[in-house]
Amino acid sequence: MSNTSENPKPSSSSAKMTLKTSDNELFEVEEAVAMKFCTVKQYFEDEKDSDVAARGSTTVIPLPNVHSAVLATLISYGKKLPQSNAVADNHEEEETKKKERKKYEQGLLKNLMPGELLDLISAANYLDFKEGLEFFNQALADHIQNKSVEYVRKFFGIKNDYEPHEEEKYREEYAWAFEGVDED
Amino acid sequence: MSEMRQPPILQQRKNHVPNDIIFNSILTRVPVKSLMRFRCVCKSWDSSITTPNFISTHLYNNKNKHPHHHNNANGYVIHMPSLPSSSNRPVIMVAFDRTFDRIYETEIPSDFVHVHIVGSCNGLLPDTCLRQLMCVTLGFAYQSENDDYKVVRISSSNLYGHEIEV
Repeated sequence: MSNTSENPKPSSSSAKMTLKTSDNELFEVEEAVAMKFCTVKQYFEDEKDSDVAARGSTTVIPLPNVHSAVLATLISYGKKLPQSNAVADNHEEEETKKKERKKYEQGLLKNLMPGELLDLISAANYLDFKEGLEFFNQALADHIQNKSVEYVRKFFGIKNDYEPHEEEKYREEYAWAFEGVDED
Repeated sequence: MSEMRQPPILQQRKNHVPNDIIFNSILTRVPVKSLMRFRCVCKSWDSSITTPNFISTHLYNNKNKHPHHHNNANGYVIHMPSLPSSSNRPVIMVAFDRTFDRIYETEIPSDFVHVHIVGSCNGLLPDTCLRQLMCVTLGFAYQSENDDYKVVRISSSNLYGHEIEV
């Protein structure tokens, strides 16, 4: 994260930017990856206009709503995405990369606590990171789809505002929807 | 995965996933059976899940799913009965699977009905043969001239031999 002595070329794939999290950690990230966070991209483009970047100084972009643990995961996921500035692969290379990505995604999800998914989605939303949102939203949907009503309430911190008799009536009427649900 | 241990740092912060993400991006990706159950989570979930807008977004998302994805077995099929002037609150019936065993009736505002066929979905059901169904979305359009509602009966064209009447 040291200042470079030359002018960084914005289009170069080795250009880096520095992101600063809510807990004051600094992440040096390749521009190609950081640009996938549209909030960052917007900030960077605003900065470019203001002459600062043209002078070759390092811009530190503050992300006060994102914790370092969460950003680390999002950056890691972003790196695995097809890069827009990459040289086009042939079909075989593309297939290999796809497989690697699938494997990486499965590993990533396995190691995540369910509550972390909420953090990741919240951060991806703040960063306007579309691919990340897509992926983690789907992961969360997959996680909750077979869970009980009680689990979902607890997970999202939702208070039940049904009267007991209302709920009971509903459960009887739509009993089929309550079958085969994961144990809490 | 029932334990929800979290690293201490993350425990302190509150969940701030906005409701519109929960409804538009997460719940639209769960199958219909889950949605019917989740209506019981709280009253606001119930009302959000049963809005025509939500239903159509959900249906739109799911019609494009890979045919062999297990979620595809839960597509909505919408049957809207014709309504003579007997009732002034139109009702649509939503079937949650292709056997039409599970039906849910919901009222919709009378002005906001427009039905169009978006395509067919094929899918393999566990113990039945291939069926073709038309998937229908609800959009918003004003039905101006009359209060008559179109009858759209959607069913398996192969097995039941019903016509698609519009």
